[in-house]
Amino acid sequence: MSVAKSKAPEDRPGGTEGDRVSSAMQYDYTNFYFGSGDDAFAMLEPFSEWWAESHPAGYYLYGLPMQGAPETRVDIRDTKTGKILHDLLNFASYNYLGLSYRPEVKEAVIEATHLYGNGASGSPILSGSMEIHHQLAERLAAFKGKEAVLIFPTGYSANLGVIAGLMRSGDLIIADQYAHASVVDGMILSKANSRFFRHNKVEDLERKLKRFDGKKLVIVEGVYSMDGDIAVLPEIMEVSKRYGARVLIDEAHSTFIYGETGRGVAEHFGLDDEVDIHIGTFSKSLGGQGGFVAGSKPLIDYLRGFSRSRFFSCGISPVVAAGILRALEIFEAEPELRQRLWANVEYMHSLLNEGGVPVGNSESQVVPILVHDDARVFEIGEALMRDGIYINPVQYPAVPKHKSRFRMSISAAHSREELEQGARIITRVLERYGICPKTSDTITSTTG
Amino acid sequence: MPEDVGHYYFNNGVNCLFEMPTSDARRLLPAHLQPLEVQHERSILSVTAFDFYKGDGGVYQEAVLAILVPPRLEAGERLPKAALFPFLVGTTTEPSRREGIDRWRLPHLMQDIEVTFEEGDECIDISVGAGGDPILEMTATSYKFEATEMLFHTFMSDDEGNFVSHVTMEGEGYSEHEFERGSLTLYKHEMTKGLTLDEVNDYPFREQWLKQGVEKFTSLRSL
Repeated sequence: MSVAKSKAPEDRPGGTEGDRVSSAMQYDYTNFYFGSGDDAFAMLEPFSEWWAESHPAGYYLYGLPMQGAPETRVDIRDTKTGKILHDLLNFASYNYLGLSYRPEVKEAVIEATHLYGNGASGSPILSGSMEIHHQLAERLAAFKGKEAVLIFPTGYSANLGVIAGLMRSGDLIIADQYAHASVVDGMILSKANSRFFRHNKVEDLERKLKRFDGKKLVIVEGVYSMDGDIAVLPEIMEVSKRYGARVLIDEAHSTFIYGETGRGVAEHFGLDDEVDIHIGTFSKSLGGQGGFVAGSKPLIDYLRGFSRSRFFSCGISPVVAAGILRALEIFEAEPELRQRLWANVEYMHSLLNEGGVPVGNSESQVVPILVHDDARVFEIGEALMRDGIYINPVQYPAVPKHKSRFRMSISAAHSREELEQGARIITRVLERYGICPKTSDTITSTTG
Repeated sequence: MPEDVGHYYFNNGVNCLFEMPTSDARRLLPAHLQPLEVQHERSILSVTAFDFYKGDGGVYQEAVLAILVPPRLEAGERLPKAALFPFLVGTTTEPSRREGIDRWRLPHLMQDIEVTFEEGDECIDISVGAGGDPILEMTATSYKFEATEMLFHTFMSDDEGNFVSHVTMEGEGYSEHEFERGSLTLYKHEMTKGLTLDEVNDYPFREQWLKQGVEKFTSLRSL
């Protein structure tokens, strides 16, 4: 492989296939992002050479084909061997409330298919707006306690459209350094001045805010998707308002989970009315697809006219909208779903803690299983899969160096037995790799 | 791979990477180079300090301010860890300064600087000053030390043209991490005048520390 030519094992006596593969794994996507030269395809050949070795060495673990719904146990096709792996415990899907495959949701989807057909067949500002879209927006606005809601084709396009729709060249946007890529891309698209403050460090936010006069927007997330911790919203709001900044909170991982009624982290802190812009997705807790922004009517009216990512996209499928609407109805009718999720979160955290599994500062249903070993994260991922767990590795550059991890998603649908079995497998595998102490035999079970 | 022609042996080579405004980075780079961005509008300031104990420049200390840029990737060539353009180098001796200017075409501060290295428990404090005026203070922290050999592309530019050298860093003890534990204080000085000091992060996103190492340059290649 040319990218690591001087370290290739064939250059050294006793080099092995393992050595060759590990040399490929010294590199990552960042090595192929920029490159000098005049040919726009200059990076393709070096990348292809690297990919040919690194994909089977670990990257194949991403995007493995699931054979059915994202339930708590799933069948997965191992693309390396071609074999179907049966009955893996699913800790990878975002299906936090288990709503994506509920029978009532499926029925709503089937009914909508009969009524509307498959797609919206148009931009939402032209012909792609159907009655079901309006019903969903109104129901969602009522749930969020806001005057209006605007629906986007994806959560990504919601951030893109809202940020770039509102902010202009010469304005200032300051985001938490761990904000999602869609936030960063929205900032780029807006052409506003962009700054990032240290994760949850309000003093750094203030240092950057006070140097700027003009329109300012501060962006945070409710639950941070790689670490599972939450925004220190009261402090962020205080500083932001003191300097005249508007605040946007992306509650992709916290809507329908946090707060007294499930509106999100803003409600959790009693700041629902103070936050100016509320972003959310349908793809996580409601098990559908799409994103939304909730806020005042003037805000939504303005964004309807300036959110290009929305009105230059086809509206979300009415079929999907119907499934989301039914999922929302179930969510509101069954508060026990959230209660079960939080009980599961608490129980899984305690099991992992008991096993000495490092989970950082997570306090939510997003749990990073920190392995810190960038070189072996894929190997550990394979071991977890062999032992019966489906969970996604996260490595540099998605997280900083030496902060490789597995991102675990806990669902209300997981049974206690599944959580216990999952914790036992994770602890046992991490013990083998010296990541947590030998305690797996001591993990207790309340379910026998 | 060209042959190594310059060798510089050091006790400590400490490098930290900091976010800085892309607008500053563009101003400091020659027209043929573009800055990398770690975030939108945030490029990368590289601050490095060496204490050389033998080699082609003799015994001296050095501080290097550089901007990270894309490497020149060629199919079949070894991929470098990174590429950089040093926009100002300070050294503690006249001979090492002449070596850097004449041989490697590196822009230098034209006065001696003072560099101190103070190693503590899993950290090293570096102070750089000149004539009693402070230039910068940097603290780097360690993780695990392991043997390493890394390739960098170093770009140079002067009135006679644009150049690149392949620089290899080898050593028995190399630590690298992104735990954001280090720090940087920059002072107003001739050496830092190209930087908007308030806009450079005062903490590194990457900290690298190489002990008992050697820096090897290949001959300059014209671009």
